[in-house]
Formats: sequence, C-alpha cells, structure tokens
Amino acid sequence: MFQLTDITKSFGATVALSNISLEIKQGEHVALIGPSGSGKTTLLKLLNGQLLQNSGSYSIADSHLNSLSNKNLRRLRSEIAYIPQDLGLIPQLKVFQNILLGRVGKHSALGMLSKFLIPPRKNLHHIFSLLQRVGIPEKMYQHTATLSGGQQQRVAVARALFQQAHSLLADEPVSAVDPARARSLITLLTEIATENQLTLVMSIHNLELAREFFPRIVGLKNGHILFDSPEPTTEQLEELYHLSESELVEP
Amino acid sequence: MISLKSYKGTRRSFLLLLIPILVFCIYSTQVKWADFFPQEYGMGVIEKFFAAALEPALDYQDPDMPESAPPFSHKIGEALWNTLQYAVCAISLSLPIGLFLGFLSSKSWWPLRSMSVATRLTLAIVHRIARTVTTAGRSVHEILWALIFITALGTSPMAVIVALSIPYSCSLAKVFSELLDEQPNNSKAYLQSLGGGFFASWLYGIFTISLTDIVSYTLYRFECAIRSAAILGFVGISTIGLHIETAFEDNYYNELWTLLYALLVLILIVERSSHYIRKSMTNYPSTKQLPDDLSPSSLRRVQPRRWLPKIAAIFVIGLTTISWTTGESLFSKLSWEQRMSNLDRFVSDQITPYPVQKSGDWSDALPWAKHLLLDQGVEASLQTLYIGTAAMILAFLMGLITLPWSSKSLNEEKPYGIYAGNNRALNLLHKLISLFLRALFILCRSMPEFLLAFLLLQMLGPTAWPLILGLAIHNYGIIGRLGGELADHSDLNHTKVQLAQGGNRLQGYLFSILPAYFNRMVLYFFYRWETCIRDATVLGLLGISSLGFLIDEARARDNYDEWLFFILLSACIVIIGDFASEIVRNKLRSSSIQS
Repeated sequence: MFQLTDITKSFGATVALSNISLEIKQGEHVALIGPSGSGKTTLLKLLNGQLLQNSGSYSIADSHLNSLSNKNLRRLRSEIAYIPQDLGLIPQLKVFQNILLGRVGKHSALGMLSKFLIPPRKNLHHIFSLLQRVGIPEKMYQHTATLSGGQQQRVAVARALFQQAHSLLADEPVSAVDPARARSLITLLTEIATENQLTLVMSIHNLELAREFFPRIVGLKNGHILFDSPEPTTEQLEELYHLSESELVEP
Repeated sequence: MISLKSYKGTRRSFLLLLIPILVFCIYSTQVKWADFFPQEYGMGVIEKFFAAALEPALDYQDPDMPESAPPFSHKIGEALWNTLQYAVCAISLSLPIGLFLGFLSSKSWWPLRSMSVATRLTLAIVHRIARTVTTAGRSVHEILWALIFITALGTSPMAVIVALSIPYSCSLAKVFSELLDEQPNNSKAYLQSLGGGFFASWLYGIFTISLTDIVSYTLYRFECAIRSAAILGFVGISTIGLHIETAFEDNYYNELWTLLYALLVLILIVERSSHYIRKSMTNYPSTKQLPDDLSPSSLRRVQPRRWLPKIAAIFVIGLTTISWTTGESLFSKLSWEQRMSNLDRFVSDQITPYPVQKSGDWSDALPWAKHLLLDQGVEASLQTLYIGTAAMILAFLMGLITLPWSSKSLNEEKPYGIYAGNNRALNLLHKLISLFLRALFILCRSMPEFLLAFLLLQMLGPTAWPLILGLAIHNYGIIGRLGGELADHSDLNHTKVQLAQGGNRLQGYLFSILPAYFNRMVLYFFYRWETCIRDATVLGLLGISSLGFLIDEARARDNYDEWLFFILLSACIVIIGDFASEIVRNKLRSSSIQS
C-alpha cells in the first residue's frame, strides 16, 4: 500500500527524515514510536502526500507521489483518512456537518455544497450509525465546540470512517487524554480498522498501548528508523529514548 | 433514538436574507436596472476618460494659461502637500484627544475591587459622558463639520483641521476604548497584587498590551485622513480634490489622471509603509546567537536592535513639526473680532429656525421641524439608508465570492504548506490570480468613496447607482483585506485536514474557512455597514437625492436653519446605525459559537 524507498525530507537546514525505507501492506496495523522531534508527524504527513520528499521515491497504491496531477493527488488522498493531533474539527459546525466533510475529496465543490446544505437522508442515517458505533449518537446535532475533548476525538474517528478510505493515519490521537480514555479510544480505532480492513498507521507516545494493540512497531529517532519489529527489545527501546548529552539538563 | 430532524442553519439564513434586502434597497432608491449601464453621453465620457489614463498630463492642458501661472508640477505638488499637511495636522491633534477620550470611555482602568456607591456612580457618569461625546462627534461626517466651521467662522486651514479632528478624535477614542476593554484583566490584577497603583497597573498591565493595535489603528486612520482631506476639496478647500473636480468640469482628462495618479501614489506610499511598520511591530526579529565570549561589558553591544520603528518615529515627529509650521499661516487673515461677529451672526440669525427668527417664540420651531421632517427628511433619510445598505451588501457578497481566489495562504503553490500536486501551471495561476486580486483590493480601498462616486456619476449619469457603486468598491477593498487576514490566520488546522482528505482550495474555503470565520465576517459586515451609512449621508452632496442633497440644497438657498436641521438629522441616522450595529455585534460576540 505505502512503499517508501530511501526517503529524505528536510525543512531548510533541518533534516526531518533521512534515508527512510518502509513498506506498509494493505490491512496492516503499524505504531510509530519515538521521542518528540523524531520525525513521526513528518512521516505521517508524507504518507498522506501533504509533503513531497526531497529525495527517494514514494508510492501509494503503485502511484508515485511526485508524478500525480493536482486532481489525481486529490483522488488518492480522498482514499486516505488522516486525523491530526489537534483533530482538525471546525468548532463552529455541528457534529454531523464535520463528519459530512470527511468526503470533501470525493465531490466537486458544488457537489459537496449541495450535500452540505441539504444533507441526503441516506448520509444522515449513515452518520448516525457511525456515531452509534463511536458511542455518541446523541451529539449529532450539537455544535462541535460544546463537546468534551474525548467526545471530539470520537467525532474525528467518525469523520475518518465516513470517508470510506482504505487507510487511516492518526497522529498521536491519545496524547491529550487520561489513560482510561486513551485505552478505550485505541481499542475503538483498532477494532474499527479490523472490521473495515483498513491500513492503520498511528504515532503514539504510550509504549504500553503500542505493544498491546499493534503487531508491528516502528521506532524513529532523529529521522532514522531505529527498529521495525513486532516486539522491540528493551535495549532497542532504551536506545530510542536515551537522551544525548546535549539534551540532558543538569539538575 | 434521536430523530433525524432538520436543523436551523443561521449562516445560510443570513446570506439568503441579504439578497432580498439588497434587491429591496436598490428598488427603493428608485434607480432603474438599465441605469446601471452608461448612456450615450456617459459612453463618450468613459471613452475620453480611459483614453487619457495612459497619457497623464505633464503640463497644463489649458492653452490660454497665463505665463505667470506656476508650473504644473508645482500645482500638483502643492495640492498634494496641502492634502498631506491637513491630514498630518488633523491626526496629530486627534491622537492625544482620542487617547484621553478613549481612556475615559474605557472601563479597563476601573478598580477591580468593590467600590463605594459614590465612586461607582462617578465612574459611571464619566464613562457615559465620554461615550456620548465620542458618539456625537463621530455622527457628523468630517465634510459636514468642515461646512459648519467654514460657515460659522470663515475659511481658514485651522477650521479644516479642527473639522477633520473632531470625528477623527472620536473614532480613535471609540476604537481605543474597545481595544483596551478587550484585554484580559489578569496582568493588571497581578500588578495590583504586587502593590501597583491603579494607573501604573493599567499602564503596564493593559495599555502596553494594546499598544501595537493602537498604533496600528492610528496608522490606518492617518491613511483615512489623507482620503478625507483630499475629498474636502469638493467643498472648496484647496486640497487635491478641488483640482480633480475642476479638471473634470473643464474636461481636462489628462490633467485629471495626473492628479489621480498623484493621489493614489501618496495613499499607496502611506498604506504600504504603515503595512510594514505594523508588520515590524508584530514580527520579532529572530534572536541572533549570542557570541561565546559574552561579558558584562559586551551585553549592550550584542543587544538586538530594531531600526524601523525608530526611523518611523523620527519621521513622524519631523513630518508633524513641518506640517504645523510651514506654508501660509494656518489661521485665516480674519481678525478675532471679525470671526466672533461671524459666529454671532451664524448662531443668532442664520441657524435659528426661520419662524422663530420672525416671532421670537421657540415654540414655533416644532411645527417647522415636523414639516421639514415629514416633507423631505424621512424620505431622504431612507434613501441614505438604502444606498449605504445596498453598497455594503454588494461589497460583502463580492468579497465572500472572491476570497477563495484572493487569500494568500490558500493560493500558494502549497496551500497551507500542503503539497497540491504537480500541475505547475495551475498552481502558478492560483498564485497570480491571488496576487492580482490583492492588488485590486489595495487599489479599491485606496480610492476615497466620495471620489469614486464622483467619477462614476460623470459616467453613469445622475442616479443612485454611482453612489452605491462608489461606496461598494471602496468597501470591497476593505472587506477583501479583512477577510484575507482571517483566511491567512495561521492555525487553520481544519483547512489542512480537508486538503489532506482530498479537498481542493475552493472546498477548503467553503467548508472550513467560511464556517469557522463566518461570525467574524458578519462582525466586519456590521462594522463597515455603520461606516457606509455615515458616508452615504454626504454622498448626496454630489447632487443625488438623499440627505446630503438636502444639506447642499439648503446651503445653496442660504437657508442655514434648514441646513443645520438636515445635518442634525444625518447625525441621528448615523447614531441609529451605530446603535443597531452595536447591538448586533454584541449579540454575535456573546453567542456561544464564537470564532
């Protein structure tokens, strides 16, 4: 599904990813772990085609990213759901409107506008069933701003599901919630991914959850892949989170 | 199970409501749709006018110009300088008054702890008085203030400067007080908890935080003051507007274009420099790496310096000093006695209602006022309201429609930093269109609405269209800029998500920027609507039936009692507009779906 070969991505003088090679197959569940600034978000954005690599080659479902026209890139993206760290919900819109926008890439601007202004009954029913699946059907017509953080995460998951994509990329979806909620959300996401045969790539800080829920764990450090295994060893993890001397602050 | 009932869409209701209101307003100004297109005569003017655009005159077009006349370039230079001088003097006078009035009409300096009843009452009274003064001062347009002063005291540059300063001080005061009141109280409370006095706590905890916005708004008002000074030429003050009017009347289109270009260049210089000053105030220079051999003696040397604000400050002080001191005396040659007798005649004879002048009984004024109001006043006020509203709706809708193509961030090669695909030409086209539109916005808002209306009037003929369009064009430039600032707001992550899901630029606008910032746009709509109503009261001076027309006509007939009555009526309309707009804006601000 996602095929990266010798990918390097830098922003000015800062190298975010260097010589990354990675293959993710359809239906795989992959956790990205690593310290802050290791390149997890850049990798996810690259997988989504938001960024273009400086060198190396990247193909999604056999299309090379840099050979895609604007239109084909959009079509490709509409098949990949992406949940950023801050969820990217529009607080001023109602919950069902935010979910409806999951399909923004599948329609023309006018087509989307008509669906947005007069939502078809079929879509409303679909959205309602998705909200039942994530456990907050009663919030359908509420303004998104009035929801709690945990509820908003569920709305973002429903939006991703409504998109009917083949893959789901999530950038630290549980970084801002308590452990119990984090576990329940990860459970929900992995269950949903399994039910719908989605490829799931998620960056996550919580090592315990990564080990428990993901059969494949990729460790990133300073833009390099340190390991890529089902069960990283203690030494590997220590190296991953070991602070270099310049990062150590004297007490 | 909850029912899949329908829901209320407030955003679309507002937009849908605007269209019938627009149609109603245009219909009520009694213009014909056909008048929108120029007639044969107008076409002739348009042809000659635009043909001259490429050949601005470098010398007088009048062949009979006497030898003794000053060179053409001197005439242009003098007209420009007068315009700038009036604006500089007016703003330098308005700023201290505006700060003082703004302070008084703000509640930000009030003590945080509970007050005694007497203190509370005193503060409330001071606050109310300051508010009333600012509202009253703003409600009369600067052109009308100028007419009042010239009539009462005789023509002098000082009268013009004061006329500009009154509404400008009050506008500054109003916005300053809003800026101060918007600041959170916590810094002030903290300083007070350390034992800071009420003024010091306010100064460092509130004022310093608002300072950037205060400077920024003052610069904007300075730009407006140049426009106002320019159009004062249309009521006989020797600024560039006077020359523009006479050039048009004499059909010297090439001279006209020279003047228009000169005015535009002046405004653009001010606009661009204030843009960079504003930017330099909010963009902090990236701190340079300090050298390793840092010692107490080198601390001063390595301190980062910012030159632009300092140079700007020196320039402003210099310009202000020159403006106040050079040229002919700012005071007219009339003696003090003459001026006082002018004023006395103005107050006791001219503006006293005609029936009262005859009978000496003020109770006769009421039927007189009632007659004026019902006979002409109501109709003209409504016309003014229709013109202002129609113009604002047009500007707003046009702004909303063009925003997705004008927004800078959205039309970059990579919108919001997100790769858009490899169609280089398409991406470049987006960038070019956006550049063009943003240049158009600057051009539109640089031209004074009064001048635009005047030019359009010559082309489209005497209907309300030129007034509506002139106002609409100027405000389109402002709405375009304000909307663009919203769209370029950096934390639009939901727009990024829509692009990441395969949405295109237009969809990013329609489904993310527009809903997220709709409230703010509506706030801008009402803020500009209020200004439109105010400007619409004077556009009638160009000879189109509305309040300004009645004012002009009464003055032409030397009926200064009626003249003042209509000026006061225009003030009432503006106050009602302000009031209505304030109610709506407060409602929007307090609504739960804040942006």
